[in-house]
Amino acid sequence: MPFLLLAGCFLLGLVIIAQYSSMVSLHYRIARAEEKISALQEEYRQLEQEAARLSSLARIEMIARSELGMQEPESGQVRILTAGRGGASAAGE
Amino acid sequence: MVMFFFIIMAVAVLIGRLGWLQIIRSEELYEAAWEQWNRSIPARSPRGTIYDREGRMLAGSSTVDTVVAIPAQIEDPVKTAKLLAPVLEMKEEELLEKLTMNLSAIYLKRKVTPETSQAVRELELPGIIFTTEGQRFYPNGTLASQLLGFVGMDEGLAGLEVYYEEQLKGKEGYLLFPSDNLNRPIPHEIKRFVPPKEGMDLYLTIDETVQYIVERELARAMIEFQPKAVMAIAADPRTGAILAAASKPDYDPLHYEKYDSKYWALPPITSSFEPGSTFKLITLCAAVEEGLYNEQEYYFCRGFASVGGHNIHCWTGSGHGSISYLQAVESSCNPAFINLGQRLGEEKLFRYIRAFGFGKPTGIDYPGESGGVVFEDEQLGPVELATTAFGQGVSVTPLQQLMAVSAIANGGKLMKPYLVEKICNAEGEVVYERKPELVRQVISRSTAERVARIMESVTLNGSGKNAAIEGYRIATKTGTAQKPGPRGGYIPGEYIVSMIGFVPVEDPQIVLYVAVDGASRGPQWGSQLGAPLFRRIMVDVLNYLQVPPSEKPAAPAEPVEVPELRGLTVDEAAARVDTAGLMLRLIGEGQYIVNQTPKAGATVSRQTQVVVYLGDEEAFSRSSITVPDLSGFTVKDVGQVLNWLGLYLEAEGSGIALRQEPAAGSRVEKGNVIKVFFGSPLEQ
Repeated sequence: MPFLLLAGCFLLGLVIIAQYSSMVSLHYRIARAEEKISALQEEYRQLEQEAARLSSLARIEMIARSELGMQEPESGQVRILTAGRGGASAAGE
Repeated sequence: MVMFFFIIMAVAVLIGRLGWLQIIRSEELYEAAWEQWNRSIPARSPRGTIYDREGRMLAGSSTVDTVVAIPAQIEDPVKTAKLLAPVLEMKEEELLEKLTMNLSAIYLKRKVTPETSQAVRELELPGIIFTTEGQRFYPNGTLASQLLGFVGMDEGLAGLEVYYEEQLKGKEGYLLFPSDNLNRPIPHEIKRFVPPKEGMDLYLTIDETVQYIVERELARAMIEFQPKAVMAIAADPRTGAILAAASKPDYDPLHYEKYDSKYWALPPITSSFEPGSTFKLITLCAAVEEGLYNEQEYYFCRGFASVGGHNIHCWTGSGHGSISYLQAVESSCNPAFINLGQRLGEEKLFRYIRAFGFGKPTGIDYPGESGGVVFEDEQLGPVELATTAFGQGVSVTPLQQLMAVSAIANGGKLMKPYLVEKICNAEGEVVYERKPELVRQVISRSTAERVARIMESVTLNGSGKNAAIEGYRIATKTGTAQKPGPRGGYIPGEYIVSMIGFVPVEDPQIVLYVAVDGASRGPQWGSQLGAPLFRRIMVDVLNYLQVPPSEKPAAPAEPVEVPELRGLTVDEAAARVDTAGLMLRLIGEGQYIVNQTPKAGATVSRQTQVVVYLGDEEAFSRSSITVPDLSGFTVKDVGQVLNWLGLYLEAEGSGIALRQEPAAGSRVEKGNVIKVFFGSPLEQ
C-alpha cells in the first residue's frame, strides 16, 4: 500500500514536471510567434512604404512623360463644351 | 515488479531528456535565453505615420539596427574594438573607451545600414548585440518637406514632426530583471516586460495631389521667372482646412543638414511681409460694411494723393483720371483707397483689420507661425492710415490673408486654419478629430457677397484677367509689394508679386494665395506673374477636385490681336501685352525687342504667351551667337527662337525646357545644333 502511494506521488510529480516542461516549450513558441509577428509587421511597413514610393505623383508623371510619351495639351488643343443648361464643361489649359 | 520497471523507465526517460537538453540542444537553448535577457535594452517603438486627407502616406517609419555593447559580457575589449573599428567606421580608441565603460549597456553606433548590421553579426562577438530603432521615410521625396518637417536621431526637429512630437513618438518598451554584482542577469528569475507603445498616426487636411500640383507649378515658376523664391497656400474657405502649402526653394528632409536652415521654415505661415494691393480687400470690406462704398460713384485719380504734407503716389505715374469706385478696385488705384481709408477713419479701419485677424498669429498647428505687425493706436497718424488703406506699412502672413479672403468667400466668417484633421492610435481608433472652428463673424453675409462680386469683376475686367478660367466664376485680387531694405526704405526694383482669390464665386470651394518674390525675368506685375501661376494651379485643382463649372459663367473672352512689340522696351511691351490680356515672356538679353512670336496682327485667345527676343539690331545677322537661356520655354517656342538665330534644335522629352547643351552664355556659330532636354519642372 505505501508502495502504491509512493508510486502515485512519483507519477504525480512526473505529470507536474511534464506540464512545466510543456509550459516552457509553449513560452518559447509564443516568443517565436511574437518575433514572427513583429517581423511581418515590419515587412508590412516596408511594403506600405514601397507602395507609397511607387505611387508618388512625381514618379507617375515621369513615367507618363518618358515611357508613355504623354504631354500636356497646348492652348489650341482644348475645346470647352457646354451642353444644355449649365451642363458639362471642363477646365483646360 | 511491473511498477519497478515502470519507474526505472521513467527515470531513464528523464535522464535522457536532461542529456538532450543540456548536451545536444544546449547551444541553441542558451542562445534563445540569451536573446531574452538582452531585451533589457529599450526597444524604440516606430514613430506614427503621417497621411494626407485621403490616407496616402506622406511620412512613414521602418526599423533599423543599432549596435549596442554590454561591457560586462565582453571578454576581450581590445580585440573587440580592433575587429569592430573598420566595420563601424569608427576609431579604435573611441570604441575601446565605450567597451570598457562601467555601464550596463551603451550604444556603439546608431541606425546602421543593413549591410553594416550583417557584417557585425558575422563577427559573432560576445557582448555585442542589436536593438531596433525607427528610421523616418518620406515616400514622395521633397514633397511637402517644409510642411512635414524632419526627424533627428530621436525626435522631430521641424514642421509637423516637431509640433506633434508627443503624439507621433510613442513610448519606449523595456524589460525588468534582477542582475548580479557584475551586472549579469540572474537566470530563471521572473522578468517583467513592458511592450513598446507605437506612436499615433496623423491624418492631415493636406491633399497630396493638390500639394503636388502646387509644388510642380511653383517649380515651374522658379524656372520661368527666375525669382528669389515662390510660395503658395490653398485652403477650403468653408472650414479653414489647409489643402496645400509650399514654397521653393525647399529641402530634402532626409538630408536636411545639407541645407541652410532658412529653407526649413514654411514662408506662407512663418513669414510676414508687406501685402501690397491684396490688402485693399480689407479696406473694401470695411467700407462696404460701413455703407461708405458705392461702385457707381466717381473718383478722380491725379496719380497721387496729398496726405499730411506728403504726396503718396499711385502705381501709375500719370494717374487713372476719372474712374468709378468699381474701376478703382479693378485697376487697383491707390489714391481711391486712401480716400476710402479716410472715410473710415483710423478707429474703424483698424478695428476691421484686427477683426480679420491681422497683427496676431492665427493659432494654426504649425511651429513658428508669424503674427505680422500692424500699427498700434498711438502710432497712428494720417499717413499711416493712408498707406495701410492700400496695403503699405503693415506686415502680414499669406496665411492671415488666406483666412481673411476665406471670410469674404464663405459669407463673412473668419475661420481658424488647421493642418491635422484627425489622430488615430496604433489600433486605428480615432483619438482626436478636428472640427472647423469659427473665430468670429467679421462682416455680414451681404457685404461678403458684394465684395466677392467686385473681386469677380477684377478677374473679368481688371488685373486678374490672366487668371480667368473658362467655365468658372473666379474672384481675384493682385498685389505688388515693395521689399523693405536692410537700412530702411525699399529695395529699388525688387517686388513680391502676389495674387489671392477663390473659385467658384457662387459656392467657393478653394481659396488660393500665390506669390513670386524678386523675379528676375519678365515684368514684375501681379497680372503677368501672379495671375498665370494662380491660374495654372487652379485649372488642375478644379479638375482634380471635380468642382462643377458655374451655371452662369462669364462669356468666353473674345480672341485678341497680338500687338506689334518689335522695337519696344520691356516696360512698353508689357503695358501693351497686359492691356490686350496676353502674357509676355522674355528670352535673350538686350534693351529692345527684336522679334516676337506669335507675330503682330495674329488673332489669338486671351492669356496666350507672347515670346519676345531681346537684343540689338544685328542680333540675327551675326555669325557668332551667344546661346540664350532657354529654360522654362516649350518645344514650340524654343524651336522658333533658335530658328531666328539660325540654330537647330535637338529636342528630348516633353514639357518645358530644363537643361541645354551648350549652356546659356556660350558662343556658337550659326548652323550649330542646340540640344535641349524637356520635362516636368519637378525633375530638375
